[in-house]
Amino acid sequence: MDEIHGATGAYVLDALEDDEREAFEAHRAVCPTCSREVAGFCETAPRLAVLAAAPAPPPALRAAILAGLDDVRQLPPLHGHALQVRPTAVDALAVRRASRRARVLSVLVAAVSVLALALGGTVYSLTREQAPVAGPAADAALLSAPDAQILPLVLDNGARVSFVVSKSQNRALFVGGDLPSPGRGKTYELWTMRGQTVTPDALVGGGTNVSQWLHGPVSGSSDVAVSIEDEGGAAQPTAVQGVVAI
Amino acid sequence: MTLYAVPSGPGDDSRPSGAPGLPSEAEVLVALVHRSAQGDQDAFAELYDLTSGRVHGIVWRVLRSTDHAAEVTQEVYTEVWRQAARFDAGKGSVLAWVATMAHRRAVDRVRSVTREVARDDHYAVSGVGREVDHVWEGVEQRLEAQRVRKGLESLTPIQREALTLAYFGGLTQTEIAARLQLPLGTVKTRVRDGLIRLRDALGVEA
Repeated sequence: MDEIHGATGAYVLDALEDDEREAFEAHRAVCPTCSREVAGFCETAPRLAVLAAAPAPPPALRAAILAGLDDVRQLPPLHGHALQVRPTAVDALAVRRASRRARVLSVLVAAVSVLALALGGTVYSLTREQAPVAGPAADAALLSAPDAQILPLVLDNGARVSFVVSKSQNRALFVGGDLPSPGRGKTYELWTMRGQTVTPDALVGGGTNVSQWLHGPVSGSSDVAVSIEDEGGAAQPTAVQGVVAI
Repeated sequence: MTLYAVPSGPGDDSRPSGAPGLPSEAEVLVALVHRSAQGDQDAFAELYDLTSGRVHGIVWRVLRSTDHAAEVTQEVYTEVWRQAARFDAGKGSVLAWVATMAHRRAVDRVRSVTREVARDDHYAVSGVGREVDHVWEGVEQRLEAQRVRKGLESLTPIQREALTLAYFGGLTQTEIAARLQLPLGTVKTRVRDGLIRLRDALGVEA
């Protein structure tokens, strides 16, 4: 048995070390046998849960989760279905969005200082086409846009990142306070999505206080995404780490 | 668009015996996820009620902390709500989707935040099958527990330990190898063989 194929079980049980997991995920993407076996194990492993000698979830948790739903932006289906399932303008939804917008704006003032701190006025440029570099003045301009949104996102590798997006300014900034290394020979790649079209955008390495402008165009895009690809970037995303609607 | 399509994934054939006309739990869960994707909070509440015992159970077993387990469970369901429209019944069951997410997050939490607390003084090497006292048990759950316990019993002791140390202990295969004093390659093989054996013993019934 080739060693990498043998890792299916440990992978499903989350028992691989980070570097092993990255290697296995890269392999699984191109190995239908492993992909099938992983899917099967994913059905089997949770059945162990029935043996988990654990207390029932506290009743307050249910209430807390349900109460929080209004504040969570639901993702559209992956492209391909996106156009068909876009919610139509329901009044309640519009109201919810409007109130969310108000909250976003109210935290923006605070966020400006936090982000400015995070960016530290330093220059970051790791892109192949030299997307504009993030500097404090440009950040302030983006953040003061009336439609600026901060969209936090937890990547599959656990990294907490944000996109700061202004469609009116046609600009988006990718920010990661503590972005783990994407792995040897790998890079983070940013994407813009519009309907079924996925367009490669800037490349980003790991590090602290990472900040990267997107090439865009942003105003016509429906989502932005982050993936991990081989150094130099890919034309289509392979290991998607997170997607957020904008 | 697959909104009301009958799922074709694993678990599809798992109708409870004796109730031929009723949808299986797996089918019910798929329908609830689809409705949740449309913003239906009642459907989501029902989804929570049907799955939270198991999901919280997994998370709690890994974390052994009421507070951490509640936090991670909340994160998981928030993600389920957020990503409901991206659930693909063709790729697997709802339970596998949610449980995989829950286990991954619980393990991440153990490895980052609670490494010290969540380990040695919490997890003793002992088969989990011997200490079933889950509180959410109905008849179906008891039967399922019996099936799974029986499935686990068909494994070799090392397969069983490796599996439970990983799934409930949140240990990496390196840590399991150290604890069981076995070579890493052996642990890797035992984990996979154990899962294959368990899978075959349980079938695709969910």
